[in-house]
Amino acid sequence: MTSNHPKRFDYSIDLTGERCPDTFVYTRIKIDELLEEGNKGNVLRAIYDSVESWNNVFQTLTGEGLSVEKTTEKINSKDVWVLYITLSFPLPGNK
Amino acid sequence: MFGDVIYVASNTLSDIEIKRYSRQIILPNFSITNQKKLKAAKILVTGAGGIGTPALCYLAATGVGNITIIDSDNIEYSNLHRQFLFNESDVGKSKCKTIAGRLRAFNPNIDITPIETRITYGNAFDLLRGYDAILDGTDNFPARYAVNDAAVQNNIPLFHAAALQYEGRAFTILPQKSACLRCIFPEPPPPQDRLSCREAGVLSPAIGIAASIAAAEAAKYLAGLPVALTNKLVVFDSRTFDFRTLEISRDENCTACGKKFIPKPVPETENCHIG
Ligand SMILES: [Zn+2]
Repeated sequence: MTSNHPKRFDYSIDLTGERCPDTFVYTRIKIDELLEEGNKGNVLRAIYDSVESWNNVFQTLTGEGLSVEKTTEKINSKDVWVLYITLSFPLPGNK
Repeated sequence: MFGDVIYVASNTLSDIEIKRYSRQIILPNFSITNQKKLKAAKILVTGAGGIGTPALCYLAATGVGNITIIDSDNIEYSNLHRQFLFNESDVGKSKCKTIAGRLRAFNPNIDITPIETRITYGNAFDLLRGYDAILDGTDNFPARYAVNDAAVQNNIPLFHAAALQYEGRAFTILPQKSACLRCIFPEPPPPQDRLSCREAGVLSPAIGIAASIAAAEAAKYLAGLPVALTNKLVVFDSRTFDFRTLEISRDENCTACGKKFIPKPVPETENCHIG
């Protein structure tokens, strides 16, 4: 699931500087907001600067049934860990 | 932060609110939509006493956006062991105005409205109007029955909690759908069977548990989540921590929520007020 090719995305959230569990908190809240605004099927790019956050958020979101792709990228000449999340609703176990 | 990144804040929740409620918003079966419902909700808490204090803390903490508090009493030293938002220096001051100030400081993102009045059978039907939910924290039978009858007649969900000595109880009333207080206790016990002052002690954490159960039910309801305690009365004993859930059911001849409404004010007596 890991690649270095930039992917298409509709929205982006920069969570560099955030640590667990806030990285998950803000990713989840952003997903909720975008779904509420009718963005089903669109792709959210989420950027992390810690491999732990990247792995944890990936695991949690895929566990909730979302389709998520992991990449490592260089953005503004900085190495970051990125998730491309396809927005779907409802999440299993979520309304 | 990267310059090309957008983070669209919610229309109705500020960034601070999102941070503040984040551990709730990420709950399973919860989302920002539920949090916005809470923010838009209006709840009335009848009584700023033993039940009202912890219930109000949790309602304010979860982010219920509009909270009205009705109480006519002033703070006494004997309140402080269970009404923990009051300080010794508050003794003699208005309960509902004092607690409103504490709650505003605790959560400035919500509206708190204190109404300094005594609930009676005569005024309850007008006072208990225009709310999405009512949490009953009254401490005496005349007010408790007035709140029940007015809430079910005005078709407003009522979250009931009470505690005495070591025991507590709580249940949820969805008018016309589940049992009300009068369905299970048509009348309060006659004055001679009510507890004497000596027996009217209460362990303050037991009140806190009962109040927290009712506040959890109310918060879930206002967030648009299912409630658990309709037609179920939770009773617990804090000496043994034996929790029981008793099945209860609606009485179609109930004078409050049955086929025919019959006003039944409970006469004022000299019994001790606790709760
Ligand atoms: Zn009834």
